[in-house]
Amino acid sequence: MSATEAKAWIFDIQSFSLKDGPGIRTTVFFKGCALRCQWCHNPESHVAKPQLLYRANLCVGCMRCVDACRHGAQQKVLVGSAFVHVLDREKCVDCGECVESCCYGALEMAGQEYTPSTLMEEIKKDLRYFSLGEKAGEGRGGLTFSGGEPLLYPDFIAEFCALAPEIHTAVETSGFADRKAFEKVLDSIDLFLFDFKIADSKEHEAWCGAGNSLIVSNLDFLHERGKEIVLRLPLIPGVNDTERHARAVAQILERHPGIKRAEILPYHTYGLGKQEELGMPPYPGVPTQAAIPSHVQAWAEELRRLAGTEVACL
Amino acid sequence: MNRWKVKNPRKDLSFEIAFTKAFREAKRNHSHPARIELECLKAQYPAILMPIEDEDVLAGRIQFGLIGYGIQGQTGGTGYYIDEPRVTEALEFQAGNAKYREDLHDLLTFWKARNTYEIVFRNTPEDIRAVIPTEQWKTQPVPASPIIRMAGAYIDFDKLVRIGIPGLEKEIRDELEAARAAPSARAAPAAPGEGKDPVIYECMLGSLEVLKDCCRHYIPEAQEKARTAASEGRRKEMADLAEALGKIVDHAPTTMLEGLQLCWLYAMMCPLIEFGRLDEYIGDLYVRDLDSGKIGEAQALKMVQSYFRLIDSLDCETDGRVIVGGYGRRNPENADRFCLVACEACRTVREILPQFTLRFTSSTPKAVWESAMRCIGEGRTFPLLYNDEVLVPGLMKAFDVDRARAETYMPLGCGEIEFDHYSFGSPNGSIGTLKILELALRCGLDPVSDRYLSFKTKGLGDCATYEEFVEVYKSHLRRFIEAQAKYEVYLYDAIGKIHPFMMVTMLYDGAIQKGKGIFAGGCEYLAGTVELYGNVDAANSLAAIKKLVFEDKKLTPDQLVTALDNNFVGYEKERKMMMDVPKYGNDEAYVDDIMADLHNYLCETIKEQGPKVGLKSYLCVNINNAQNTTLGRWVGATPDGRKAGTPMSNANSPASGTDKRGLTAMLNSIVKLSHDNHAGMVQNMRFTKDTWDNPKTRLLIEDYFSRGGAHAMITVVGKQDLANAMERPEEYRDLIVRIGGLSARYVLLKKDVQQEIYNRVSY
Repeated sequence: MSATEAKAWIFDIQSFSLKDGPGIRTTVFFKGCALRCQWCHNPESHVAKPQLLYRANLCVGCMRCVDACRHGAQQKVLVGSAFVHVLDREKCVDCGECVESCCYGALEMAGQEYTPSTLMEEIKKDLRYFSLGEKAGEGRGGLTFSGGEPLLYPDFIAEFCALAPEIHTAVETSGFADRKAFEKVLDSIDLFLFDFKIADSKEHEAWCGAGNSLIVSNLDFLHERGKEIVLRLPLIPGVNDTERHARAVAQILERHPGIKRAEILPYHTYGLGKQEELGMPPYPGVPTQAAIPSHVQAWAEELRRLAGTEVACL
Repeated sequence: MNRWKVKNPRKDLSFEIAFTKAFREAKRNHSHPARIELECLKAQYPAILMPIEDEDVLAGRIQFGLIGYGIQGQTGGTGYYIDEPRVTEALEFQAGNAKYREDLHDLLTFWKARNTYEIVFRNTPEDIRAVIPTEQWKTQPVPASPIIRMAGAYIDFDKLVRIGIPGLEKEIRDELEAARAAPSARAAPAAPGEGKDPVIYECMLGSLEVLKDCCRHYIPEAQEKARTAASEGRRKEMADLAEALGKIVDHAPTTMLEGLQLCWLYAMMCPLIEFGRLDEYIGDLYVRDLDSGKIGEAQALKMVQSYFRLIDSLDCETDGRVIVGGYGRRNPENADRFCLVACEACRTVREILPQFTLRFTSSTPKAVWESAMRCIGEGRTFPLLYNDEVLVPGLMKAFDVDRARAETYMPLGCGEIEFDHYSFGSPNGSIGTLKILELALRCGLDPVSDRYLSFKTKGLGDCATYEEFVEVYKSHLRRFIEAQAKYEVYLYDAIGKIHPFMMVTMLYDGAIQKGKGIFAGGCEYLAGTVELYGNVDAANSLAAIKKLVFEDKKLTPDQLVTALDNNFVGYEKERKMMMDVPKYGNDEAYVDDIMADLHNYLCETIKEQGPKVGLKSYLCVNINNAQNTTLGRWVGATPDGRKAGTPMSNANSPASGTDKRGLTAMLNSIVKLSHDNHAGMVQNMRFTKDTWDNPKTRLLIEDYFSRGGAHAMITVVGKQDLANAMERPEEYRDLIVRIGGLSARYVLLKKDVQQEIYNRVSY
């Protein structure tokens, strides 16, 4: 590893990804994101540093972690007549020392530091699978950078792509990143999977923690530069599954005729469990039930009618 | 013991009493094993045949007795058998008069020392017994165990269909006349197993008479149903059946119905539970019937469905193979047409059996492949997929046979390979490689039973290097391998002296000409197999020992063994270290290389035994059934971080929960193992429905096969399904899962087996 190599916090590498771009892909999940979308299904991606995950359902109450923790966060507490294990998040510094003591997978660190070359070592295992789709008309597979917001790590991405320019690369982005970051990766990325969540900037800010003007301007920028873009549409019941939003999306598509495809990401509740594992309080306005397939289909149909673009449901 | 699916099972043991009487008389009147066997066949058939049921278009439901004659366990037992616990149960709980109770007592005392299993086990030579003293692997910690059975007869159904009973009779009669005419036979009647023996031919002809009786047995019943059935369709079916049954008594089959009916009744008289290359032996008759307009597709499908239901009624979950496709069929075109109807029957008869198996090649018709994929996609777990392009060349090397022979390979039961009606390779031993590692760590001492279960050697603490320890481990492995190989030969000899198994012998290549029982010189290629369990856990354990003790020196040998002896209680930190060492199945060279080395050592060492003990081949299989769980119960904590008693990995699959790097890395790992030095390895894959339905998944599977993947058992099931099934078993009674060689209704499995399946990653 060279001293000048970029570094990044990565919390997951998922091989055999079938839905994040064409072909058979490996998706790399970066840690860190400036938005706080309340429905986020990867809450462990929010902060750009390692975090402790605690899965209470796997804890057997052996209390080994209590001895391992130097900060008093892992505690043995008498409740009634029995001792139970409690994690005091206030005291936890996410050092990860307790993870070494847990044999039941109840404690795990999210976030491992990679350099482009150490990531490449991992990805090598999957290289042969990337070409399979192309021969069979399923598209050329490759690597998808996701997150979190991968464009918090433009140097890392550009360096990685330079190591293996032959790999097809995609970025799945919220669009909420510095313009310079987009410029930096512009030539090395083949496909942008670009999220569009809420059209009204104020509403966007209320749900996601920031307005959407930077996002829209970045979309304009990529479109002007002629990049291949798939518009990705998280569909959140009670938030944006409305006809108004479908019309707004249709307008966006009309303004960006280069975008040939939109993909709906129906809301699911996997993120709720992860919030618990991180000790995050739940967001009040987020639905606790997954999107109903028939509603998703109806909304997709509406969008197709309005936009005339290819619309897929993932 | 199996519970055969028959509507109105026999209520008492009058059959068993009559069989015992016949056996007694036979022993009194005859000394020749073939004569005794013939008398037993007469006593057993058609007595144990059961009525035609409403869904059947073929006759031959069967309920094997608690005492009787068989060849392998699933049809009651090997040779002359008794199910002692259930006879005892009958004695204790069944109603009956004083005479009946006396008779039941008589059964127990008479058979105690006379059943084949007991005779064979009792007479095991001392040198073998010293190494593998018990076959009680379910209830005791054992590094290696004999398995007493003659599993895996694949008879020549195709010949049976082509020449029928009359053709077979003629062949035997010709030999009988030659044998009687031979001067040596007249001068001094040959002992069984030597020279041409007229007696065995006479008894073969007698056995075929019994078969004819079985056909005739059903004619009045079918005729009655043909008169009285409610629907016209059913009346016609039964009239056809009655006619077919009459026809096959003295003609070779000329219709699909006759062919299937003859094969079924013949198989039940062996009695055997593997049903061969169905597309080859029925393909021609199917095409002829269909093309001549004699039957339509729907009728053909119904017949195959009925055949499949009869196979399922045997309740022999680890067997019941039906094989289609692949190289080496006599009539590939007709057979391929038949494949489609067979796939459809498999898809629609939603039972546990048959274990429907597709052998495929680069030229398997697309329609066949697609219908197989559809069947798998519906969660049937069938067909099991066997890749001829990899297996045929591999088997040529492993078995030292030519290509034509290799093309006739047949996976039996859980996946042991044989050659169709040519070789016999009964798996008669198992070796727990993880258990043996446990012994090697401690100089041969078993920590679970606190007894020396192997010879005394150096232990881990006496080894200066990792390589030195591996040599110690291998010396223990070799000890058990050599004993098992000798046992295999002993078992063939011992059983061959008692049983000619004439129904099987008659349809094995060259056996009629030789006039010898299948295990008394009749089989052209007598081979053997030994089942291995725990290889992956052993490789993971070796990796942990290598890394923690010898490379990083994080643990001393003593610390490691102490942690294991305490089942990690108080040694959780050590356990975590062991768990964190790379595990097989993640495409990590460190441990995958260790796995490949262990795999090759086992395969090659076992292969060396064949010529030494006088078998054509002796090879290992790494198949799976529930034994990874059962044997695992008696293995203490191991250096891979596995707790005492918990399941071992299943066949070559990564240990439960350790394949963290996903499906692609797992496939990369498993294609590293060789396939030219063993007799069958099983690879499980599980997909959720959603993943399986994605066309990209198909690409992955096809790629796996194109780069050396030999085999796949694919279960399409959702993890959520399994969780729900554990909670609400009543709603999931039809959920079938494969545990390798075994297909089972999930909700009927034991809790720990259910949990183990659930824990395995579903992609």
